[in-house]
Order: sequence, then structure tokens, then C-alpha cells
Amino acid sequence: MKIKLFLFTFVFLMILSACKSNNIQSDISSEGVNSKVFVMQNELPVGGDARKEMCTKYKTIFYGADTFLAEIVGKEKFNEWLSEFENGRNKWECNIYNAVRELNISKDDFIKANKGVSYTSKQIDAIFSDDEDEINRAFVNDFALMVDDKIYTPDWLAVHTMSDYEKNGIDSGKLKEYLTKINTEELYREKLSIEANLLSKKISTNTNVSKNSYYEIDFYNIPDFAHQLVPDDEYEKWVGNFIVENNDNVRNMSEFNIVNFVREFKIKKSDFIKADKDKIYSKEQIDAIFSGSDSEINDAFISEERESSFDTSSETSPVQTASTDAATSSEIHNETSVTD
Amino acid sequence: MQVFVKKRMVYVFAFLVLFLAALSYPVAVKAEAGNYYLSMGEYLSGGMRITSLNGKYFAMMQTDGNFVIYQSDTQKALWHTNTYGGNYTSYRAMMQTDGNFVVYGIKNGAMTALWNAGTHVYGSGTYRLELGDDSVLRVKKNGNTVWNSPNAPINSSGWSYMFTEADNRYISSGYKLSERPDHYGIDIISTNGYTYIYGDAIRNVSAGNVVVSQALNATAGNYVVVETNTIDTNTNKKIKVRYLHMKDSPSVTIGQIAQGTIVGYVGNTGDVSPKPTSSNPYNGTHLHFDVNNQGKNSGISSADALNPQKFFPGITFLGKTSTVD
Repeated sequence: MKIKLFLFTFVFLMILSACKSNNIQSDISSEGVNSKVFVMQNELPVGGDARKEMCTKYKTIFYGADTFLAEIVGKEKFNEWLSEFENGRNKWECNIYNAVRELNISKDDFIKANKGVSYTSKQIDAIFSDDEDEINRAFVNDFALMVDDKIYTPDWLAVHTMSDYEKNGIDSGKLKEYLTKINTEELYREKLSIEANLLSKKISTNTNVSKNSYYEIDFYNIPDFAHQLVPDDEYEKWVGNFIVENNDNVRNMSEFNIVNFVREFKIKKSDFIKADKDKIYSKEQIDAIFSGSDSEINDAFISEERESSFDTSSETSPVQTASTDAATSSEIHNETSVTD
Repeated sequence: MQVFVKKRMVYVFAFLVLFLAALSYPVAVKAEAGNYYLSMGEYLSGGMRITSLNGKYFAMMQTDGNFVIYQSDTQKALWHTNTYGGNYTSYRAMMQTDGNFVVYGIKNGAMTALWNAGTHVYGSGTYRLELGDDSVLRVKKNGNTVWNSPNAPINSSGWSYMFTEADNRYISSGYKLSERPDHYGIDIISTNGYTYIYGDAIRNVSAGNVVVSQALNATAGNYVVVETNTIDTNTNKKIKVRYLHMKDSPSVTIGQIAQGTIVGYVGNTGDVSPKPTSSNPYNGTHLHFDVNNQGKNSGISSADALNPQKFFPGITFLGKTSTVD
């Protein structure tokens, strides 16, 4: 009897353990292999781009909804409002100004929930003011230029010209002062372009601005005469691709250059030469712009400092890499791809 | 007879009350060598100290009212509560049963709180005040730091890694590397691939205060900024850390935060690349984590940032690691 009982228990346990291991196996096949696709992909996930935070009109905190608002209106209402943005509403409209209005939040409740931590009293006054100028003053990004309570971001300044500046009342003195403010590595290309605008009017004589660039500053600038070769609205639409704010697929600023401008607007060489009355570009440079050859462009625009700092016979030379890449690309390479 | 029974019950009740009161009454801790912590209800009177286990540091309730951490060999003061000079007859540094660590001044039997760590806000639990071998005084709740004195050297600041999963250590974009020189943080994914990290809990690395907690920010996504209690010795400012692109609204709101508290879950909100699509909703999943010593909540530039890897000397990172300062 005892032996029978022992055998029964033994067999029962064996069956049980077999069932258990089958379960583990099926877990692996369904979840480990099928549902979680992937090993390392070519394009690794990245984020936290410092430059983008610097190119918005307002400080980053303006463009989101603080979780303390949920303490005021309730989690359900707060999440319902947020779901609008997950269902297609423009993500840039998810900002603190819209949040307090659309969630009917009173200033007193806001002040209490803020606990003197996230927003300054000046910012809170501005949020509840309905006055755009006051909002501009309270939230202006540290890296933006403010003139008469209007905000100009570094990327906006970079893709516009002296005549645009003048139209907006931005004088060269303010710009020169501003250039010292954005003297950061992240915004060197914007600085380069603004500097080129000043140089075109002989306002700046700073020739030291190209040190971070592979190309001379004229390459990264669309001068006034070129701008005038295309209708304003088309030009604005094109430069809008390079502006961070309200743009989910912003183009790399290195692609904002005279070669891409000429190619994408299909500018004729003769029109270009005729319009360049001040001879901003040399004959060699104009030939290069219209050549379709990256190596010619490199020869015509490569910065002298860069040229001397690289051994062109070396494999790491940006000139060589760019030339090699040119054979397989129809578009001018940005610097990221050059260095890669 | 009935009266006698009632009287006896009153005596028993009174005895129980007194007994319980005696149990909860704070007990003075003797200044014994090797005593490196205070348990709940224990306190140090003027002149008493606790000493780190390695003997290199001690924290003393001075008779002048100041509570000070000292380096034993040099007698150099490393941090203090700045509570000296009051008109009190005696002082106490007490690890209270409510979780708060408080320095009191006492006069005519009345106790006045002169300084406190504010740790009572973390609710009930088992609290302890410990002086670590790294000179840092910590209030711990159930073993997790909820407050620390701001005198920790950066590389041994006692920060804990934000993930408990061993595979979440692959850096997909490193700190100030040449391929992305204006990236001032680390983007972390799983060594098994980025989909594996989606939804994993992110735990706060160092006690401090949440100063920003936002949902669906256009660039940062769901994100949190914590001002830690670690002071940078170069700038004399509290170090701030940011957790970006989280999956849902942050789990914490503004106010005090303990080390180890879940701030949110890994996701791909805000400005990430590649962008999530309907066919691949996990695209861009990672945690962007950055550290700055300029008190900034955003717009961090090269000069403001610190290499996050250096705060986790015990973690072996893989992928695009960086040794840049």
C-alpha cells in the first residue's frame, strides 16, 4: 500500500513538473521571440537634443502641461485633455497657456499648486494675462533675441537676411550683442549665418567665425540678392523647414546652404550671376555651386582653417570623405554625414 | 466588590498607558565607538556623536547648538545645520518616530525645532539616520535614502542607478561624443534592444526635490527635473537631473522626492528619433538622462553639463560610452 502510494505520488509529481516546464517553454516562444522583435537596429533611438531646446521661442517649460494641474482638475479631466494631443492635435499647442484656459484653472489654484517651485510669479502673471507681449517677456528663451517684446529665435535669424531684420526693426547693434550671447557650440551654425548677414553689409569684420565649419561662411548663408530671386511666400515656406518651433520634421541646419537653395529652387546660373551685384561669390564658387559636384564645392568653399588642420591625404579628411560620398548622393552632404 | 474590580481595571489601564508612553519616549544614545546610526526615537544630546563605521567621520550634536559632520583626522567640518548661537540651555538631534530628523533647542523644558530634514512627509515606515563611510549623513526609510546631507563628493555621491534591470545599460547616444557633440546626456536602452526597455520603471537616482513634472512637452515629452541634495563643489549649486521622453505622465509631482522613487516609465514621447509610427510604435524608445551643475531645467549648454556616467561608478555601461568630462 505504502509502495503504491509512493509510486502514485512520484508519478503525479513527474507529470506536474513536466507541465511546468512546458509552460516555461511556451512563454519563451510566444513572448521572448515573437512579440519582442529586434536585436540592435541600424538607427539607434536618440533624443534630448540640446540645440532644439535653444531654438524655441519660449523656455522649455512653456510647452507642456504640469502634472500639478491634475491635482486641481482631477486626473480624469487632465488625462482627457492630454489625449487630444495623442489623437492628432498639434503637440505644440500642449502648453501651459492653453492648459490653464481649456481646463478652466483659476490663478489662485495655480499659485497654490505651483508651491513657488516650477513657475515664477512673473510667469504666472503672464500666463493669466492674455497679453502676448507679457508672455514673451516672462518666458523668452535665454538663447532668443527679443526686440520690442517680439521674439526672434536663433534659427529664424539664421535663415533670414539683413532686409528681413530691418523690416522687423532688428538693428545691427542688437545683433552684434546677440552674437556674443549665442556663442555656444550648439548654435555655431546659426551664429555663422547671422555673421554672414552682417558681413554682407560690411557691419561685421569678424573673420574668425568659420573655425567650427568645414566651409566658409558664405556657403551657409542665403544673401539678400538670392532671396529676391524667389517669391517671398515660397522662400518662407522653404526656410520654415529649418525652424524648430511648430515643426515635427525639422531639417538639419547644415542643409540650409546656398547649394541646396539653388538646387531646390532650380535657380539659373545666369540669373544668379546677374543678381550678385556685390560679387559676394567668386567665379570659382559660382561654378562650384552650379557644378553638381561635391568635390568642386569642397574646393571652392572649404574653410582655410579646416584645410590646414587636416591632412587631405589622410583617410579621416572631411574633404576626401565628402568627395567619396558625392558619388552616391544626389544631395550635398551635411556635416554630420561628412564626419560619420 | 464591583468598585474594587473597577479600581483594579483603572490601575491596569494606567499602568499600560505609562508602559506604552515609556516605550515611545525618546532614548538618549550613548556615544559609543562604532555607533553609526540613530534609530527611530533615539537622539543625541549636546556633546554626543555618531561615527561612521570606518571611523573616518563623525557627526556631533555640539553644545553650542550646531549639528556638524567632521572628518576625524583633520577635524575639518564638512557640513552643518547652522543652528548655533541660540539662547537655549541644551540641544538635541533627534531621529523622530514620524520619520523626521530634527535639531531642537531646549529652554525651561520647552523644545523648539531649529532645523529639520523634512523627511516626515514620506509617511510611516522604519526610519534610521546613518553616517556613511563616504561622510554623508542619510535618513533612510525602509533602507532607501529619503534625504542626504549635501556634502558628498560627486563620484561617490551615493547615487543609485535608475534601473533595476541588469540589461538597461546600453548607451545609444553618449555624452558629448564627436558624432553628436551637442548631446549632453546619455540615452539609455536595453542591451537586448530598445523595445525591451519600453515601460520599465525609472527610479530617482538621488534624494531631492521635483522642480518640474510635465506631460507631453513638445521637445522633452513626459519629463521630470529633480534638484538633488548633492551640491557641486565647483559651482556651489545643487545638481539637477532630468528624465526625458517617458511613456506616460510622470508618476511624481513637484515636491520632495526620495532616492529610488519611481518617477515614470521608459517611453518615446517628445522629440525622439526615429519617430514612432503606427507600424512601429516603439520607435525611438529610450531614456534620456542628463545632469547639470548650473541649476538649469532646460537649455543646457556644453558648459553646464556633467557626464552622467561618472555618477554611477559601479555600473558598466555598454555601447556609445564616453569619458569626456
